Amino acid sequence: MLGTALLLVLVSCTGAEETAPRGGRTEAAQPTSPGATIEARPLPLSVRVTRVWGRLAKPRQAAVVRGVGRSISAYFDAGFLGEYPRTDFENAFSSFTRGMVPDARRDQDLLTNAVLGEQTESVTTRAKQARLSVLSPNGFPAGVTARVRLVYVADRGDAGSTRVTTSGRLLLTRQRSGWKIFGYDVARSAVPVEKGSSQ
Amino acid sequence: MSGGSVSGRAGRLGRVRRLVALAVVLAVTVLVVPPAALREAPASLVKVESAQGVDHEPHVLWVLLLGSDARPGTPVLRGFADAVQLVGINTETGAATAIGIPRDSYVEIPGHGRNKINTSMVIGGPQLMARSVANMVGIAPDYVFTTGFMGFIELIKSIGGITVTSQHAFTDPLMPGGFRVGRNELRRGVQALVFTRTRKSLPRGDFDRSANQQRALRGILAKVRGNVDKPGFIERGVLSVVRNLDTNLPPSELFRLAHAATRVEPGRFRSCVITGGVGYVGAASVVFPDIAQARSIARRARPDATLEGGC
Repeated sequence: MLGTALLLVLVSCTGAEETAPRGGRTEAAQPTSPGATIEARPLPLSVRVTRVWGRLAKPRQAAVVRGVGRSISAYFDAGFLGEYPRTDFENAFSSFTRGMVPDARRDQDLLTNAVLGEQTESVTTRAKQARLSVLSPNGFPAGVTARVRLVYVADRGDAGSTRVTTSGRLLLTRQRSGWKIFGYDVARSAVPVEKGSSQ
Repeated sequence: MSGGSVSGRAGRLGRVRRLVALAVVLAVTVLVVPPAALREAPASLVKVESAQGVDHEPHVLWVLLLGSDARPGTPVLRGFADAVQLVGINTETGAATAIGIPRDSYVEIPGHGRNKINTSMVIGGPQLMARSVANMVGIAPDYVFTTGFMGFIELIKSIGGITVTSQHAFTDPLMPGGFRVGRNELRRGVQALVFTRTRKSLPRGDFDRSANQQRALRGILAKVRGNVDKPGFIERGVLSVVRNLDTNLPPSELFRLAHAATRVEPGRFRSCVITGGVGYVGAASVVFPDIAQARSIARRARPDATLEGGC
């Protein structure tokens, strides 16, 4: 592939020592200096209120978006994204209510990337969104149903890549420590992706 | 610019620089935009696995549902309780059991002697109703919900009507064609109200009415469970509860409770109506409930909201 060939030329020009592709797969070159690092920016969570049931002033809506977004982002980052390879997903459920954590751990294979974690070398986020339906009977937000969708590609080295989609509903209420997930109804699907031409 | 016209050392350096520049661009493309290098396999079948859970402590909760006969304009807590249903829900297993208590049950009302159980509402509100039911059955409810005619109608309207399976055919001007044996689509809230209030047209009167209330409850649970995925369905329902039912629960707790209720599987919903003899105390027609049966049901259902062995 032209891209691969040129990448090898570039890497040899910059003096990297190991550049050989493994199993027909191109390894990302290790930068020789911090200035040469090329990283994709993390995809931010797209959060939007789709409907308020009751009434909720705009500033409070904005606060709901921030608070719920923070909670869901923390879950997505600790449960699916972040550093790999790893087998430890203990911190995945810090955004869940205390009573929900045992159930979530039981469903860990579906609620985190634990199934692929050990073989995953890196993950690349493709979609990360939450659409919020807010219950606010008295002008104060009481509960949120977040329809979420997280799509990422888990790069598993020789084993190839897998595109994982996690979608469904997260149920949240506000506690002293912020918005917490007290319920979930999510589905997970994983599809192998083939390497194709870069052109 | 054409590279073919350039010669000498400067020209070779220029070509090298351009090659490196091109390589950088392509390398960035490879590193930063990997999707171009990946395409999805032509999978025709994708396995989708799912997980559900709702945190509600305790996992087994008992809810006393009261239908007040207060007329429009009168506070619901000023009326008698026409409908008295004690419902257990197990949020872990999806099981539920409803225990129907005839409104005319002549029982001990804590601190007020013996009387019809539905007078507890007028004497001491939902709290005393809860104590009377606990005293009679042996299960203290965790929550009490009270609704009046209009509240019930609005509640049914907010979920788009219900389907009930009737054991008896009976007529009412508000139900064109009457209620027939088998499935009945009750699209309007008032039709559901009639179904749950009609007593005189039924062979066993108050007992059959209580059973119909349980059929309506089953219809509500089925409707809620079948629509829980619809955006805003639960929020709209809870908003309707806040506006139409008397409860001292904060909306956030109602929201959690509503989601916990969606865990009930209609196929695991069991119901019993406490039976008893009919008689008179003075001039008042009353039901002398079978307390032994009530406590037997409660003893079996209390731990996990299941009812092995039937009524």
